[in-house]
Amino acid sequence: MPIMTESKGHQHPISLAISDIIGIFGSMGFEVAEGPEAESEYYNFDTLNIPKHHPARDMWDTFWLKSKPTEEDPSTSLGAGKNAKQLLRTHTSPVQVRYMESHKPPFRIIAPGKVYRYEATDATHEAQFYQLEGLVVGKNISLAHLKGTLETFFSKFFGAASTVRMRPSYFPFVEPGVEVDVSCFRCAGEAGKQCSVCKGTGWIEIMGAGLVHPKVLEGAGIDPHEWSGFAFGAGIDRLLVLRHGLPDVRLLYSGDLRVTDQF
Amino acid sequence: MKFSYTWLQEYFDTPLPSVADVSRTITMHAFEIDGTEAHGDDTILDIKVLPNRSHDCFSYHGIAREIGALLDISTNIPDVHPKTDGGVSTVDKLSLTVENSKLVPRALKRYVEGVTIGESPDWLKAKLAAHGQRSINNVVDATNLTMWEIGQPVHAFDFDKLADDKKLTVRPARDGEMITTLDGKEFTLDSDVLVISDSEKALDIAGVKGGSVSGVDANTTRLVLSACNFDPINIRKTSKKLGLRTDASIRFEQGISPELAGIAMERLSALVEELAGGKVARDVVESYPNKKNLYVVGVSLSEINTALGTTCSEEEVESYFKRLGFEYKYTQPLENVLALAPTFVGIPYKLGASVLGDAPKLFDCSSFTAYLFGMSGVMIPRMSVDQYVFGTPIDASDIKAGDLVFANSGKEPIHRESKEFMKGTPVPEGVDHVGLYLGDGMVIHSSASNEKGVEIQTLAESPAFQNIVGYRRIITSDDKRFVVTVPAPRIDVRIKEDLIEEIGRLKGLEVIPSTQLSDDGFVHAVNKTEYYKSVVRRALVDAGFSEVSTYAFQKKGEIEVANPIADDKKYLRGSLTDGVTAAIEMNKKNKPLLGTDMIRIFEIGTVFAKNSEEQEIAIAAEKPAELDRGCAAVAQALGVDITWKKNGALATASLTDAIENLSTPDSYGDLPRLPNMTFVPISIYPFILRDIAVWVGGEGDKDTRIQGYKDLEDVIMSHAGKLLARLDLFDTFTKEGRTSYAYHIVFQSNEKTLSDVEVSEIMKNIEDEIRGKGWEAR
Repeated sequence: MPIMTESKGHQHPISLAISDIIGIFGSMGFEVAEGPEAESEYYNFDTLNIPKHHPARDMWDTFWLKSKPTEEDPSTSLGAGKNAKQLLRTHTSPVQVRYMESHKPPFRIIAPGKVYRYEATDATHEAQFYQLEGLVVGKNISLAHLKGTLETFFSKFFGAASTVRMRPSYFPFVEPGVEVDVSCFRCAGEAGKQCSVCKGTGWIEIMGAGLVHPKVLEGAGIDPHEWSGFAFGAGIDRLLVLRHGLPDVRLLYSGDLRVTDQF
Repeated sequence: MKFSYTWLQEYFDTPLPSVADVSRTITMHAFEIDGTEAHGDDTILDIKVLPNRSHDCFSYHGIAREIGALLDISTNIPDVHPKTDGGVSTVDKLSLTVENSKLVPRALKRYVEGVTIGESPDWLKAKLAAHGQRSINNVVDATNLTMWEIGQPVHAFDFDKLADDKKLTVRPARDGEMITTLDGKEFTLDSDVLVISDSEKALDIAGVKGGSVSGVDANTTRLVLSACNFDPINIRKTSKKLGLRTDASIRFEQGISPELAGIAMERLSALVEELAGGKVARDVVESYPNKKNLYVVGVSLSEINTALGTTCSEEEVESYFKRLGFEYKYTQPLENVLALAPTFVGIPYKLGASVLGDAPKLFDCSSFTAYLFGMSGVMIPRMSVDQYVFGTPIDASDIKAGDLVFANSGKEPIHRESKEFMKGTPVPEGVDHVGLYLGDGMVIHSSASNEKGVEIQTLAESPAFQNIVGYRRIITSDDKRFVVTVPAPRIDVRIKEDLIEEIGRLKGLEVIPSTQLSDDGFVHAVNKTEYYKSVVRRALVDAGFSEVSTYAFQKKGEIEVANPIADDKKYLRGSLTDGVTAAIEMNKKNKPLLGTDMIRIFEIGTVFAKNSEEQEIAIAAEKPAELDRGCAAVAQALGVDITWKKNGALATASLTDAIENLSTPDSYGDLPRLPNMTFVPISIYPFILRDIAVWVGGEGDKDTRIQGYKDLEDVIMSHAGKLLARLDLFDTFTKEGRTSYAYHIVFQSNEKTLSDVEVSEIMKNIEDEIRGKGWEAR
């Protein structure tokens, strides 16, 4: 309970989290990349190996934009060119492709940014939220590198030695695809069901990841025989919910200083 | 999809481990389990089949195979066939025409006569009940059972309800054609929708739902059993257009192997025979013009271990392939290519011959080379120009057996850039022919100019190689490769990465070790936007402004959302103005709770205009002087003049423009970090503000005075307890050796609306204790 009137203001938890994340990944040699929030279907889906009419598209509920051209561009075999239908990006993954198209490997980047999903909002879902994308492209990159990198990040972010557990998953732009669980930073699995963070499982389901699909590399002009990589994507809002016990993600977009001032 | 544990047990001779163990194994090696529930003596597992496995694991056979592979136990999935009646023939009774085999890769029909429609036996009813389904009759239940077992939707028509000529066609619907489905709903179709039809009417929305006009009823005695394979995109479009998602459509839209249709027809025929009696025709009528070869995919041990970061042995990898039921050989690919190539001498030439459909009966130049390498576990692109871009360039002097030789015949069309692999890579020399070098100046190739299709010739004399443009090496390592023939249902396994995933999954991704990235020389630059955002934030926070984040959707704007989530969220914001203005108003009401006499806020966020978006900064303060101070702090921190748009309490500017000409430093400096704290929930109940000013103590030095207000605060806190939401010292005043401390005391409950009476009671107690201590409330 603050007692003295403060003369300084407060930074919003999302921007603080992003600063924190940039600092941690910066110490591991990662650069920050960015891309537009109003994105094309081409970058949000096609270049990520999510073709039109593929059931995998159902994994992302999409806000489509009206004021841009909606005709399919017949100039590409993908059925939708770079100027095709516009949408609000459903993930930060298009930044991967934009970066790969304009840079030569090796590189390691993170792309923190706002994304949008067309879905009903509740305490754990928002129509807008922040995602953290990561991409490493280099020689002989493995799932072991993914695991090591994430363990370093989580240990620094949560301030507790963290281990990562991978399980099979599917995202069209990675192969193999994995679900990433991180060990509970609060109780390390020792608090039993009382632990509000892991509910006694000792693990927190935290992000999707995998090795970059060769089609995605190749489509962005990177020869998959020479280069390989890993990618990951996590919700920054969720990281805040976990780390600080935030009861409702919608508080992050309420404009309410009773939230900001606590950080 | 939900699966009955008891039913799954039928596919294993040995008892399965406990539900908990099976669930854990599936979770860690295949799919998440959404839950388990008891169903009588049985347990139902809700398995969240991943989208890339829906085509084989939306079925009991698929999940049983998966469990068998994961637990390394053998399955006894039966290969069922009916006892057909030699005297009854489908061909004699009906005909089948498929108008577009691209949309309908396979269709099978079989005639059955003399069936008795009736109740299903208890074992079948129990299986239906485990899935929450009601039994209809023996034949309909048989079709549902077949679908669940095999993952292939099937259907039964009443033969006597078909038009007399008994001519079945799978065709596009006519625009405006109507159909009533089995559940009595009417649909108007168009030519994008496929129907199964007789010569008069549509019987069935193909791949989605059966029609009532030809449905099996209590009087049915003769049947047409139907199993088809459909193009997944067409079914998905139909399903979306009609708003009709069925057990059939969700399977077809994933794409399933056409091989399943044959297996399902046999199973359905046997089930009908068993449950409804009758005579099953000895034959089927079938359309399957493009039966494909099984996929062959190769991977080396080092590729597996490099990608997974593991140290698997050959034996270990082989054990996983065996468990998966993947046939494989382990070969040296170069030897394999050279041994295989001459066996195809004389195979005819066909331009555009398909590797999957035509090989090894027909080849063109590049399908021949693609097939040779593919069968040796080395996947290369299909077209010659792509093979040219794909391979490693080799000098003529270094050429050895197994290299590819490329030529430009001079006859258009000559490809001058890559088409599929690294699309658009320029090949100015132009390529239109390829052959495999065999050593000693000999080449083997398939060419229209050859008399016998595939021929061995000398490079020097071969007419097709008079203008050689280059040589490429495909196999650059001596590593042996696992050459895996992928079972038909596993249409997800198409490239070596898919095999690597299978190995990783079976071994267990949880045992993969942890490795740090090594320094690869990449130098990470500072991101300009992020850097200057952090500079601006720091300046404003130091000046007393707090940051907010508001919604990107609002009532008005230039960019309209096609599918808004609410009427007042139809547009993307063109400015932060509305969000920040609303935030000022809301926060004003909470000033005592926030411990401030003035709200000062800012937001940095994306704003949208036609064809562009940029970062905007908005600053707001209740007093113009404070607003000016905030604006000045930003300009000073950036060291630039900024053009602000001011509107009352609010100023906005383009951050993107402001930083345009600034350079980016080499470091972010000290970036702020998240504090270590647990969020205190915000009470939804109103607060009550009371002020108090107290003369404390007598004469005293500074330490005594500090002790004085600490004592006073202790008194306030002890009486207010949990209801004290905030305590702010807003004034101190020393006179004649005494100090007066003035506080805002904010009361608020997390559980209820506080009453004035309750707060006054607390205040009275505080004042009483103050008097008791000899202090004086002013």
